[in-house]
Amino acid sequence: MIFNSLIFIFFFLPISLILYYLTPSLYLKNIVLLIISLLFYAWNDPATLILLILSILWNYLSGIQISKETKHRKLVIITSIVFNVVILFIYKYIDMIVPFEVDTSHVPMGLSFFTFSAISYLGDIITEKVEPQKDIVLFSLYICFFGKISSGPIVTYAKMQPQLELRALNRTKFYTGMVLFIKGLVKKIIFADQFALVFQGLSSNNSVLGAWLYTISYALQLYFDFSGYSDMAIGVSKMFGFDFDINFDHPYMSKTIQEFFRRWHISLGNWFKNYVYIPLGGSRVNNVLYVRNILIVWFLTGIWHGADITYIFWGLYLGIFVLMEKFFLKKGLAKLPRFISHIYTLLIVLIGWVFFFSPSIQSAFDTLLKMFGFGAASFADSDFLFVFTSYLVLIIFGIFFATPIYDKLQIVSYNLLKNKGIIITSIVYVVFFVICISLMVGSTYQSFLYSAF
Amino acid sequence: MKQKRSEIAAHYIARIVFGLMCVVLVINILIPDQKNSQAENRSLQTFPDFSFDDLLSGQFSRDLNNYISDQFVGRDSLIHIRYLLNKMTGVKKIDDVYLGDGTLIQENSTVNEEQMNRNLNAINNFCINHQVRSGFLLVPNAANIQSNSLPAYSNTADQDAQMDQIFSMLDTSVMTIDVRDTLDKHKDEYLYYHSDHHWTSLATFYAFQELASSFELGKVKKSDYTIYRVSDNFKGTLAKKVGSVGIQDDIEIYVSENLDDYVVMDESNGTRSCSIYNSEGLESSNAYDVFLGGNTGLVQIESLNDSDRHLLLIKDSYANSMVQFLLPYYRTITIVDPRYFYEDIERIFNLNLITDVLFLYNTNTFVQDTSIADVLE
Repeated sequence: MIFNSLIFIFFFLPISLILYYLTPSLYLKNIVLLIISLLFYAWNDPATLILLILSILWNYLSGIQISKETKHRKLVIITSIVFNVVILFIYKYIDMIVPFEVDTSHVPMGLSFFTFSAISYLGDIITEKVEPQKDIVLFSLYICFFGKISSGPIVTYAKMQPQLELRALNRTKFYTGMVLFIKGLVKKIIFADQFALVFQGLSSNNSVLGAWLYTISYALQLYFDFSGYSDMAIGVSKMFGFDFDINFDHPYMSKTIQEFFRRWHISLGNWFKNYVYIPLGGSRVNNVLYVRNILIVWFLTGIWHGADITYIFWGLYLGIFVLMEKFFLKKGLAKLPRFISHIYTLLIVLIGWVFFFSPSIQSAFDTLLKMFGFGAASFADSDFLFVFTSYLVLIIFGIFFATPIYDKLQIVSYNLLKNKGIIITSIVYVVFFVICISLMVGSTYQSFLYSAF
Repeated sequence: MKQKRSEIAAHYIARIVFGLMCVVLVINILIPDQKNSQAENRSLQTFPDFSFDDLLSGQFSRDLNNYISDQFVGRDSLIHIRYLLNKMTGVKKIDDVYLGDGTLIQENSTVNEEQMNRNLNAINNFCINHQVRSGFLLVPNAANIQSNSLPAYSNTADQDAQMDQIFSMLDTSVMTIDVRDTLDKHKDEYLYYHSDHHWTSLATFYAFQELASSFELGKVKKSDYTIYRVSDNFKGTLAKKVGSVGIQDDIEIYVSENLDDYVVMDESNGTRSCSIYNSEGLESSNAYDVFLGGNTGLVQIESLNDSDRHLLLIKDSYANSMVQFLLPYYRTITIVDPRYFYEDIERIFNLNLITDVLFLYNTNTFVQDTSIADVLE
């Protein structure tokens, strides 16, 4: 099931919340939450539940064994992690290796997210940060809690463990969670889905400005899609009492590439830092090893997004900029006016997205060349102008909401308008919620035009 | 204080929205399911029957998803909010429909080359074989004739080029009836419905004048007809598709002054009627069905006039409003819609002693049609 569906918002979520809050003790609440989560997971493709349960059992037993075993500890550690990597590999990367076509239509939802959660659990036990979880209900809930299973945030076990056993449930949390959920829904339905139309509308455009808008609309689509999803996930989790850290922090406001990835998909960045980069030695090694470590992390970040050479290229491309910043650019950038650092970062990130969204390296270069005037048929054509004028309002608001100005305005409005600000904000949120619902209903609305001809 | 105000706002928002969720949940459960959607012209998903196989294959949950969205409370009204939001923010196109100034215009289709060549070949062979008066009336669409009503910078497929290509591929035994210049002269008049993809009776009348001279039916003027306005609130398929607000149409019918009695037989469902206008169609969700009651495979009209001409009309729905003009000139009119026609065309041809063959299509349908060749060959 997905968050931005009518069945989730008007069926699954309210019923789950009511059941959850009516259940007396926290332990029983956890059991209810586990059942709900399994149902959520099995919704679209019940067969994939088998793999999820298998993964839960394996990692549950592995965790206990790692902490007990003294003789063959290394072997146990390696096999338990390799199992996870192999599953991930079979589903996501087998296509890259074998010469024949593989049916990948049954990839379990959130596979790379829950596998990373499981590895985080094993990692925290190996480094003895935490005790293994003996309670299968709590462990299962860590892996498959429906608030985060489909696309993160990838919460480390050390962070979630205390909340599994004890978490405060109060009105304020419920309310802020709901507001965050609505915010995320607006980002997804009003912004991401509309930017997707801009992106589609320009996919075969052959002008310079068309290529720029094509790339920019993708950058905004991806940001609103994933940060919107993350807001919904964190909001839903809050309604059930869990506090997860933010996953996006206005990344397009960054001044360096390194900063960009401290603000973009923060939980994935942290995961790679904690479970790859630091175990490899991090930055406390000589320069050669440091370069190796950075490139490994960025290679893995790239390939994590999908089994395609373009993702690997994207990862390494950014890794190289991180290295260049570390060794040469940092001092220079610090001296320059701030807006130049912003432009530098946006430009590098945008070029990166071209590799990210293109089906092949070749077509990525075609788009990039077009952006800089090579191979474009014109500077601007009527198709570009049509899309641009159609979606100008969306683009302006999209850029506005990608900055932190809105949050500041919100505070100013509370101070200035006092209680009126509260009423206005409430009305705006409710109206936008209704607009989201109408857009969701509208997208399923189909008049069979052809039958009327 | 800041903190507190945002918390108070969150209280209001969360309460209202959670309340909405629960109310909608209850209403969705309580109100009885609807089987069909008038507005969308299709059957809606009702509560799926449970079976273990469906559950395992995921079919049950897919049906349940569709059920929730199909039976969603206020579904038909919510669709208008999307339209208003799009319109307000300057969006000029929803799916394949341009949002013009007070009018909706469907974008031009692209050509299905292979199938169109097959169709044209079949039409040529059919006309060469039968050696009767044959003509092809290809109607341009609104985006072509009224392109100045399209939003700025619209760039839809070049329909003039498509039409030139089609006309050039027709055999000399088929008269080409090109009504572009005629319609172009009147392009500021009410030629196409604002909320629908069809042409109005007025546009059909202008096209008929052209057809009448090609087919030697004589000269006609507007005053030869009594014009009745049968609807003033027609909301067509384009309006339903985008959920537009405030765009609606009049439907006019043109009844010839000196018309003999006639009988209309719909061979596909065996109904008989003594009018080509269908009041059930007018009352239905798609009022354009007032003409012939919509599309069916085979309709036969016999008039009590003393004409010796018999017409075979092979057509799409654009021809439905043309029949009212053809009526006085033919002893019989046999109307075939290849999309719903599964009989033997030769038998029909011989049985009715056909003297004239007319193909009438709008260009958007013709370039995408996949049924003509199969019926004619």
